[in-house]
Amino acid sequence: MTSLLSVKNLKVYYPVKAANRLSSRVSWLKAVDDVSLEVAENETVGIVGESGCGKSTLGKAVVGLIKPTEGSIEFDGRSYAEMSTKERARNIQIIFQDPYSSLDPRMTVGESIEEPLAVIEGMSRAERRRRGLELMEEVGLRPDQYNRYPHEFSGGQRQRIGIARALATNPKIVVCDEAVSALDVSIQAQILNLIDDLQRRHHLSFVFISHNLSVVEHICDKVAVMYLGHIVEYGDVESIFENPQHPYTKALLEAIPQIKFDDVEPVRGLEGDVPSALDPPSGCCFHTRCPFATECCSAARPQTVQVGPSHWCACHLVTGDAAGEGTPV
Amino acid sequence: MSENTAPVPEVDVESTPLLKVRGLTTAFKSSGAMTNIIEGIDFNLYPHETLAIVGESGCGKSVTSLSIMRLIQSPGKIVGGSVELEGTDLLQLSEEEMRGVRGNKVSMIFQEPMTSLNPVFTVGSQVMESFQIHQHLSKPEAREKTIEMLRLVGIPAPETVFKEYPHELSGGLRQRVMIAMALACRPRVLIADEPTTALDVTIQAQILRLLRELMDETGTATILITHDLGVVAQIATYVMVMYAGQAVEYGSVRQIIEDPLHPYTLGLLQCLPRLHEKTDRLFTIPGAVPSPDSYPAGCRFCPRCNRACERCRDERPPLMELPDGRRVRCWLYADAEGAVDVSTAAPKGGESA
Repeated sequence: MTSLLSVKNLKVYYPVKAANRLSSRVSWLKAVDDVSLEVAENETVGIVGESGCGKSTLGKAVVGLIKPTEGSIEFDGRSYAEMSTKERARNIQIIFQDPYSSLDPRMTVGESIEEPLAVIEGMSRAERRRRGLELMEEVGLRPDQYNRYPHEFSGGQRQRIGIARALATNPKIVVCDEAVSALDVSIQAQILNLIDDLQRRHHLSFVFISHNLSVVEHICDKVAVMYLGHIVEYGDVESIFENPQHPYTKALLEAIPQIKFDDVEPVRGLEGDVPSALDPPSGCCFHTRCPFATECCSAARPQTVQVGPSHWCACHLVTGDAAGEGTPV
Repeated sequence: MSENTAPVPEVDVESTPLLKVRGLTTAFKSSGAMTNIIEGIDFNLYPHETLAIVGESGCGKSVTSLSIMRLIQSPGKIVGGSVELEGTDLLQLSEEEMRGVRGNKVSMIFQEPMTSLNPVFTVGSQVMESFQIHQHLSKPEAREKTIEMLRLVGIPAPETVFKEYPHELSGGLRQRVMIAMALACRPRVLIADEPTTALDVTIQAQILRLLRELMDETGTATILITHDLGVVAQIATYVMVMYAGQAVEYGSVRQIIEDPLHPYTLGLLQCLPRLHEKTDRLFTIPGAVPSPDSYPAGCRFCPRCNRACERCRDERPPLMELPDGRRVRCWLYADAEGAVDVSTAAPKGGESA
């Protein structure tokens, strides 16, 4: 499978002014630090991690809303730098988390959905209306809702409007940034099924950003686990969920409250919070919370090694500075 | 409402309930008429127990907890029922007396700690307030107690955090501060409204563990409002499932999770993607919760139910209690052996039928 989107050594740093106003020192918050990722056609790649790990920044960089500090993103073999904004926007779209704040309250549903068609494709009004109604039907909205305003809709329906709008220009890649996190479980299931249908129908690729690992396991083909701007584990969804290698992935999976009653004492889980990205720990950035950390973890950053047919991990325990199982990539 | 119709738990039979809620009904004024938002809510809460209230948004979970705290504001009004805390009906107290109850005997944790903490006061001064107001402690005494409380909820370096402002803390720490504040006066009942929804899973696990430990230690009973059934399975003792302002099922956590009776409860459980159980397609409950002014004539869940029949469309199902103590509001169980109608008559004031 050739990749449709390829992110190479992407770095996104935000400048942060010093708290002291007299000082002109600027420090850098490394939101995304040296991340590489490939997305093939018709594939869904999940990005998981705690808040502040850089998953949304990565998503925004993929859509072109943030300019990378370093590294490159290529769509279909062409670098973003060579593409016009319109061309990029036509092919790569985004669905946001909060359907309440991502729609203009003064625009009708029809206007919202058609806006990208006018701006990007320059379609005539009649063409736009025809396409708008087609999109509404596609995502499960009724044509008589065309002239309604966002406040008249429930959260789930608003998310459908957001999806219709994202699909307007027939994009190849859609980034879903916590697209189902704000919804009730019943509505979440409806939207997840819709995303699944759309992928089947249009062979779309999704970059699915979520903190909900059960949802990611359900919908994704591949998963990248992020921690403090780095991808610490990456691979096929089955491989990662059944055989997690990185202690952080294991901790994330164990922390999910499960709907069953086993009388096993719950695991202690991770202590403390994610360290500040302004001052990340040395070596492996996870070593401050890792129950297995050794001396070498705080000294050197672990290399990413292949640990399975389609499974990569960056951890000293796995690279086996003791065992020596994996081979550096 | 006589005592024997109350759900009888298997444990603590000899002790009396801490909190006894009967027929609690709250209405909101909309276009001139009062519309019941929650209707005939009944439950008992015993020490050490956790009652989870689950349901989709708009089912009345939060209105139930706010009604118990008497924090319903105009145009809303509690129109009927009683909320007995250790024998005293909170609904009969004056506003002055009620203020002595809130934060003292009954306290509450909200979902978003950033919006419930005052940004211009230090953490310490906000937690200290409860000690000064309810226990009339002097400032140095209250300060000492506060630091002790902050330590109890697992805050590292409580002396430092005491002097910090809410924005200087992480989400997990802020929620710990909220818990410290809520538990400061050792309340008899703690109401936690989605306490971990805004938190990451790793932090959520820490907070749930903390809540469980504190419950065991202090004997505080908890009402937990959540939509996360995983959280329910982890810490609840009893579960009340609410739909469109009514309790549709009530039972022990095992009964509800392992053998749900009401089609709505079953639907909520089925539509969750579960870890390590990959399915091709998720079960969905079609449609959405109806708004209070457009409830269907029969069972309120009927339009979304996959087992609805003629009777469900026309007649409202009563709340039935089965011999094993669980309650369900569904016609499927109306003819079950030993089922007793325990519906509270809807009080006057709201639209009753």
